[in-house]
Amino acid sequence: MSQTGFLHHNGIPAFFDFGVGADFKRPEYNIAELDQGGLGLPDRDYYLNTDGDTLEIQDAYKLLMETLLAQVEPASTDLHQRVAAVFRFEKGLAEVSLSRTAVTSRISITSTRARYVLTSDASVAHGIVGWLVG
Amino acid sequence: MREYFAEMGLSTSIDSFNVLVPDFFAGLKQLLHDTELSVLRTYVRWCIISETASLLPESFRNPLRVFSTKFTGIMQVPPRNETYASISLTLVSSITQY
Repeated sequence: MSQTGFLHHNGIPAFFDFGVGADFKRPEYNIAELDQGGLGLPDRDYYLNTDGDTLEIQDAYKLLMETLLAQVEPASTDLHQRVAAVFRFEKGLAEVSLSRTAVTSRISITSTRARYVLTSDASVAHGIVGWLVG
Repeated sequence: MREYFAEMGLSTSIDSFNVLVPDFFAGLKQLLHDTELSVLRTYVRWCIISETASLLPESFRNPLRVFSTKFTGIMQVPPRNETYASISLTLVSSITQY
């Protein structure tokens, strides 16, 4: 988590997004908030759709990734496989991300968001908390 | 989480925060568990490179331009001096850590 903090502090988006928003419990205060993120392409549909245009963009994206990684790792011979693995990871992020439509409407759907208290949520059974707290 | 807030330069006394899509984070946790560390390292490298490529030499910017052209249809990317630079050089050098 501290590594992700370092990246986010320096303006590098990775794994998830960080922001500030109105506290769900006390809307007169702003507090930190965590959001879905971590995708290189702008929307989850670019990973999940299977039409010709999308597949073309996926190929161009993987080629870009391989070309740029080759600049910093000129000696690597396994970049093609590693790029495929990174793309699979990003696709996994896309699969657990809400669609753009759901994101737009979630402002009125309280069930898709939650507020956590670090000091007491270690016992909360939700998957995120055990990972975040620590 | 406290380490995350500390690295962000925020108060470590933060004791509550909003999570906009809890299911995403549950999925992320599982994904991190199922993904090899070497893949995550490459992913982080890629995140750094893709965010900084527009500030790097032509050999980085040109492939980015080719992709942007294909992706957006924009034929001309603004010149480098018009590109907003907010990322410190120390971060670019930190790429070797991952």
